[in-house]
Amino acid sequence: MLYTSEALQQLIEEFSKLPGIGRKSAQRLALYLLKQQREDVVRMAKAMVNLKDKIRPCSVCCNITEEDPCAICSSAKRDRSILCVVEEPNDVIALEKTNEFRGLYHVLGGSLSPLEGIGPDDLKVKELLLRIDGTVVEVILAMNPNVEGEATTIYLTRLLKPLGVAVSRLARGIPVGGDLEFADEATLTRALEGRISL
Amino acid sequence: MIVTTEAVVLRTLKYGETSLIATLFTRVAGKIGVIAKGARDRKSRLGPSLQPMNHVTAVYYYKQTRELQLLSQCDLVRSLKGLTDDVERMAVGMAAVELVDAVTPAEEENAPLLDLLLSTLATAARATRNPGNTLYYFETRLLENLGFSPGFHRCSHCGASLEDAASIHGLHVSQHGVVCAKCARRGMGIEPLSAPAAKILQRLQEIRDPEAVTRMTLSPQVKGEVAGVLRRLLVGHVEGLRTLRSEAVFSSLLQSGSGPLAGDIQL
Repeated sequence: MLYTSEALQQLIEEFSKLPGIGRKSAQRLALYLLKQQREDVVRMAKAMVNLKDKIRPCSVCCNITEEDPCAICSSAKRDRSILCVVEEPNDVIALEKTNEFRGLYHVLGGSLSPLEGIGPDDLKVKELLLRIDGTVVEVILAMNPNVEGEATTIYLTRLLKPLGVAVSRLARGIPVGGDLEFADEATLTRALEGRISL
Repeated sequence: MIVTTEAVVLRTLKYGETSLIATLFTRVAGKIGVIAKGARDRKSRLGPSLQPMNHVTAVYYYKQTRELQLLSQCDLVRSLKGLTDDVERMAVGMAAVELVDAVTPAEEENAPLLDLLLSTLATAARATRNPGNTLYYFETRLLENLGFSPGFHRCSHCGASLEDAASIHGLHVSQHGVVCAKCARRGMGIEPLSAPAAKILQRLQEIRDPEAVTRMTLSPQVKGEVAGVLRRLLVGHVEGLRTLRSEAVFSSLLQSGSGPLAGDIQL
């Protein structure tokens, strides 16, 4: 397709590289920016550059941060005896939204994916083991409930148990507010296995 | 056309924000690629069933002109939970699905191979000991299914009977079989094969019940030899098959273990 402006075409191409953005949406976003004030567009561009310039991994938990160590790792209010291991920084954001977990995190940077050839050396496993130094009493493995998550959970359990820490995992089952009859078989099976006595 | 079929999920790939692209090994059409729109959404019923190694009933819209078919339903036939409870069992399951993905062409029906895959996965999931042996069983039957059944009971050169494993003196990959002492002396490209490993290979070819292989206790040396022979035969006959990604990962996971993939298989 021929655009009358090379700048517009370039921006559309850049936008269409974003996840979930097709060419048509990219075009709409680019034309929207064209209509905005110059200072608004500059602010947005600066925010994007800042994202790359300022954010770096926390040297303790491997989460994304501007300050090293991150606000969670350096907070005196957090419980240092519980460590929650997650796959990605998004998972930290999701768990923090609950306001229930007061321990520390460790971000692995993904999960073991045997079929994709992603092994333990591709994850922050060594960094996790270095953190088990006597202050940590429990490690919660909060992996995604899929085969890759299971592989990671089993592997980490094998590594962590001999270090004398309690290892637990998140429960799996019916989402709150959901209907039992609409739950799929795999979830229902796991929910039955993970039932608790009252 | 709407197709309803039994299948095993071979692999999945994240696509877009919430979708998955999956490779299914189906009973009616062999290996097919499907797109499951919204499968990663929490509300979707497709995602939980659409996990590698799962035995499912899939419903998809088939159109000859497109590469990826549209998956509309995917229900779990039976839970093979045992495969995801243990690294060794998972290693067998992953290697089996990866092998099927690697050796089968797209859209070529092969119901016996699906049955073999299902029985292997079910046996490995239930196995309380030696789950890794089920992979040797699977590879032996896979070679047979592909038409490259190796000859472990006769010399592949002179045809002499080698029922007694002690009289086997080597393996000839390109002739997919073993050789006698006489042929081994003058043959080119013959690899050494110990009598205990040869005996196990003969036994694997005779066994028709995958449960029986889990009762076989093999020494690490024999395991390594058997695994190596089966893999060399597969690599030697299936174009493009080299290393399995899952095995490389599980080898590192099982470094301290005694599993079948704990450095035993030499690729």
